[in-house]
Amino acid sequence: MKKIKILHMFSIANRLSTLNRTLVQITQNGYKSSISLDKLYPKSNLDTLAKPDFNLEANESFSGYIPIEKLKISQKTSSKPGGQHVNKIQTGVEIRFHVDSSNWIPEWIREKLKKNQINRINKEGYLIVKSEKTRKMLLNQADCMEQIRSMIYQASYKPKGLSEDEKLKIQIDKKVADGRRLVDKRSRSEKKSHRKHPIYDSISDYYN
Amino acid sequence: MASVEKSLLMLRNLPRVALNNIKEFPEVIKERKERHALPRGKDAKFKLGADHKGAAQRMSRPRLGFGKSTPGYLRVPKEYYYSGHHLLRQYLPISLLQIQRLIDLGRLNPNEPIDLTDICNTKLLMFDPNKRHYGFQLTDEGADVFKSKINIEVQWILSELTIAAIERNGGAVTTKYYDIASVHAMSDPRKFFSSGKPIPKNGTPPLNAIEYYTSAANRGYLANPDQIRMERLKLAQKYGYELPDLEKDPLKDMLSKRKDPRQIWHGLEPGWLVNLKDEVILKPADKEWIEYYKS
Repeated sequence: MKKIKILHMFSIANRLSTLNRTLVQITQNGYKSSISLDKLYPKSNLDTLAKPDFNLEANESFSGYIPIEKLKISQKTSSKPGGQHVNKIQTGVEIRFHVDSSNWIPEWIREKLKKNQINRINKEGYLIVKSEKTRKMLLNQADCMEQIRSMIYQASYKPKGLSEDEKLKIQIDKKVADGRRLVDKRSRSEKKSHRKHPIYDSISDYYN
Repeated sequence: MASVEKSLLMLRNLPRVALNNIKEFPEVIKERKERHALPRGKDAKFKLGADHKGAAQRMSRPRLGFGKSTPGYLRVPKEYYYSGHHLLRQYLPISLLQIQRLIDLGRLNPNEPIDLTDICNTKLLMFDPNKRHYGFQLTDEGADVFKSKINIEVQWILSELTIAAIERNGGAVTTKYYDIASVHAMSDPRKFFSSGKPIPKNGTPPLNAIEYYTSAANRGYLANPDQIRMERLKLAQKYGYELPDLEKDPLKDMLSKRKDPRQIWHGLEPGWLVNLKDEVILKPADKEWIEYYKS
């Protein structure tokens, strides 16, 4: 049986957390059971608060990452009815960013975005998005982010285009349709001409 | 004619024809009443649509659901909504607003990891392990107002807004499962230490909870730390805040402190016997015991 000399800050259960601090200094390695995280995930970096490894550079396409420091987020009071809560607490959120100077969006997407969202861009070139959907500021902020992200995704849509087979099929279908149309046209005109009164040059044609 | 002139004069002086001064002929009203009334007299019928003689006329038909081969109470399937309710786990809700308030009033220390024990010691909630309370769950009320940087460990989180609100301020949150013996120990440590039992080894979660505690989205204690880092970024992108850089933060050691899955309190290992009276900790010396508590 071993004895450990405990320091003086060890009396009631409320201060157990402070005790943990001193003991951690004493026990060097720390307790590791058979299901500790380094045994469950031997190849992972166990530091959860480190920076995530993610390539944040803006390439040809939009990856979905938005650098928040380049947006201007402001909170405001909502405009809807609701009494004291809506009058006093700023739950509405407005996000704006300058489209032309946003390098995190590829160029060709920026142009399209300006065309699509021309109603949201003001004279100085700021795209403004606001949300007052919910009672919580954070949820409204999430709604604004969702709007911005989906706008950029829509602007980055590239139609796939027709393949060679599809183009050939369209040509053939067109020719077939034209042929059909002309046949119908001819038969219609014959039908109409049959309804007319027959015209004869001379009586000899009629009798022969 | 005099009568015609008289009636025309009357018409000129009478009020305008409207709904309040016209009436049906009495014969028409009577005819309508007679058509809808039950026949009386020699045509009277008291069978109320039933057949002649038999159970229907004599009012002895069986009640609703019976009369057919299988009665209604056996035909309709049973749904066991509450089966096993006495065995289900319960998590007492505590909101972010309450935690912020406790920190502001000095009842919770934000400079140390916050635990089940710490929240029980505030005596705010009536936590009773005998009622199958397996811990606390964090709710998102007060997410907008939350502004403290803490390392908190709860047992269940339903909405990702709570996780976002904590990580936005530079904090850390994990969800950890404690089995009922550990919960008993944690809810009242003084009572547990005075009982003379060694610190228990925390069990693994039951089958219906393994998926929850191994997923990074819930910050489970058995989840892959690589995935947790990605989830933190995802949440920051979703809710529109920047992930605070904690590399140079003096509190980083405290914030990244995590218990082993089998461990109950920071700094104390399973198997140790804490003697509060003599202010001494007794560790096991037998090989088998040491092996058992490290497994």
